[in-house]
Amino acid sequence: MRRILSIFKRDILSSFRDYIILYMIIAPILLTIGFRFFIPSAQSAGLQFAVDAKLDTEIVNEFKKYGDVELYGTVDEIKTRVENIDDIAGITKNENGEFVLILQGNEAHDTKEIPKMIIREIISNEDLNVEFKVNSLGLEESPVATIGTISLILIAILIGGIIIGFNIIEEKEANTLKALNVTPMTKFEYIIGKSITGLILPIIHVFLILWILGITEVDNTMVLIMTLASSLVGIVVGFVVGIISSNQITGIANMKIIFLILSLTIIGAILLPQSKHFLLYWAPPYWIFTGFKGILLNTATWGNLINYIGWIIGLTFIIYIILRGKIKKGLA
Amino acid sequence: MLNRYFALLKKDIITGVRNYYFVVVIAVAIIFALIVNFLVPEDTSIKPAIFYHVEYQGDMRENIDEIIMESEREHPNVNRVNSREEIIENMKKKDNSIGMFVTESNGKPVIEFITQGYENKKVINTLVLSMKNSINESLGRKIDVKTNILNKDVEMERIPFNKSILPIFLLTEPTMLGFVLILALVFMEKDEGTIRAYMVSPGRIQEYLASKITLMIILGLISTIVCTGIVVGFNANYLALFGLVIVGSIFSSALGLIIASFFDNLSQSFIWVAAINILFALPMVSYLLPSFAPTYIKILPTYPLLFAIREAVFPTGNVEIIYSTILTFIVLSIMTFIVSVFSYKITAARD
Repeated sequence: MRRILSIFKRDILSSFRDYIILYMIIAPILLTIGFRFFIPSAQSAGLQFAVDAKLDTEIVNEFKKYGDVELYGTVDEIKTRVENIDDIAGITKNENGEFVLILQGNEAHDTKEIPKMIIREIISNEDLNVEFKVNSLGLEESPVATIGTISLILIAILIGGIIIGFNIIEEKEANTLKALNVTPMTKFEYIIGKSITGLILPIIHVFLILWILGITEVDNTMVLIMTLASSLVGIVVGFVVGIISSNQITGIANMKIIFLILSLTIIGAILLPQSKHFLLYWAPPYWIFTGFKGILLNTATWGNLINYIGWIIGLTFIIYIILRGKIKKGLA
Repeated sequence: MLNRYFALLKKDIITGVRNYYFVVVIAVAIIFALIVNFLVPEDTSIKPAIFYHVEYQGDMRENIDEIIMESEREHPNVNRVNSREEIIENMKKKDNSIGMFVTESNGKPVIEFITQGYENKKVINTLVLSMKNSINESLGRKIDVKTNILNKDVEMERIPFNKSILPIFLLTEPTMLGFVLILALVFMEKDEGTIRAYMVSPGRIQEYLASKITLMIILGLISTIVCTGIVVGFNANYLALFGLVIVGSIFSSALGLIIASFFDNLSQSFIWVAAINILFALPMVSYLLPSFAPTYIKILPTYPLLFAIREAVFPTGNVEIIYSTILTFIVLSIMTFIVSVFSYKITAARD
């Protein structure tokens, strides 16, 4: 136990010397603060209209009901704005007093069609004998906020692993590993000692992320258990990168492949229809994503959580067993 | 001068080969291309799923059925359920969804939209407006709106979703590749003392940095050819695409060199690298939601670059965006290169 704590203490001291630990602690927090500023603008995203300033205020207000309105004094100014990269529809009236919609040609369907519907709504006199009602389920977190929060949590979990990986590479380069191999310390003690950072930091980060984003109505025990299980993935990734990489360059190269696989798993979980999610079952990050999504939306039961954690631990164990020989050899 | 540059480039290419840079870049491009071609469905949508139930049996039932059938044809995620309760049950399982329940009151249809709660008022208004418009059309009340399309040549064909994510990959991989890889290369040489040894040779720092940037351009171009070739074949405007990848690589690599000049190893610089990478990746959101373009995203250099790459991969005739982006990046690349040379001169003098 003393030797395990010594390894942990050495890692922390060495990290403090290079300010790495400070960066590691601060980075996810800064990202979360940045994300907090980003959420409101992403949630209020709608259509954009470049409207002729000469049109009546009521018409301008009608467009404001459906999107952001920018006013322009001349038709040429509207055309210049419409030709910019983003999607925006220009609205003006011709000499006969008829509405004219100005488009660049490559806009998305909604930017082309919704302004036409608004114009029809303005000029139509017909009474529609239909009643409309809108009710909500009261959910405040948008998918953007939920996915963003889970991504931040995953970053926090993986940062711990990455630092473990690059610490191992540095120790290999400085021959510290060779020196440690002639001490009474066992490989198991070395692995556990190295893993402590990857276990403690994610817990601190995950709760800080949730607190900064104001996500308080979640089951904290579930969050803690899920974070601990997920940290195993970060630790294994860290060890794999550290052991198979002979120097920092190959470390970066290996990290790129691992990160591509991780990111594609998450993108797949977001975009693929539920019926095709079985294609992602092999990837532990898929279960981390699904587990945290359930916890954040308060839809996960303890039964679900045990299932997700079972998959994470089981898959991580299989990866460990497959790479066990390589890890032992790499640490030798 | 050229001899020294080519000698350095040869050395950097050998370092890249020995450290599997070429293998990794090609492997990542092939993995991505195969996933895009065979795993990501063409009709994937980020639009919300719709769950609906129609109880109404009055005169307008046929019109409502017609509107729903049209939606089902256009969107893959419109689902019929058997009750209002089932709508809510399904919506709770899928947070990116809305519900529609049609019933009758005083002989007229009542259309209830059930939202999750996070949707803004403008989105809800648009939802109601869209339904009103569809009902009017199904009743034969169609009003034509005069439309002036500024550039008919740029009217875009619908790009399948799986292929549409290729420009995002081309931005984050081949173009921004140099940002991270060059850091690792520089730190390795710092560690080995190569830079210090080079500083006392007749070689100039410009040649040293330019050879590293050239390696990143070569890697970026290989990744671009492999990935774009597999995903869209010969349909892209490769000349424009290569131009964009080259100027983008020079900019990102020079930026990487500036960052590397302030730190001693990768671990120290990691947070800055991650933060800048995330910042430069933000235009992806505007790419997927083209009407979401706040100023803080539009001012990022990767914003026009991403759309210019899209134009090069899926040409619509809007070549101005390619020319203006290449020009902007030539200026940015020259500026970042000059800054990187100065920062190396300063840090070398300090060391």
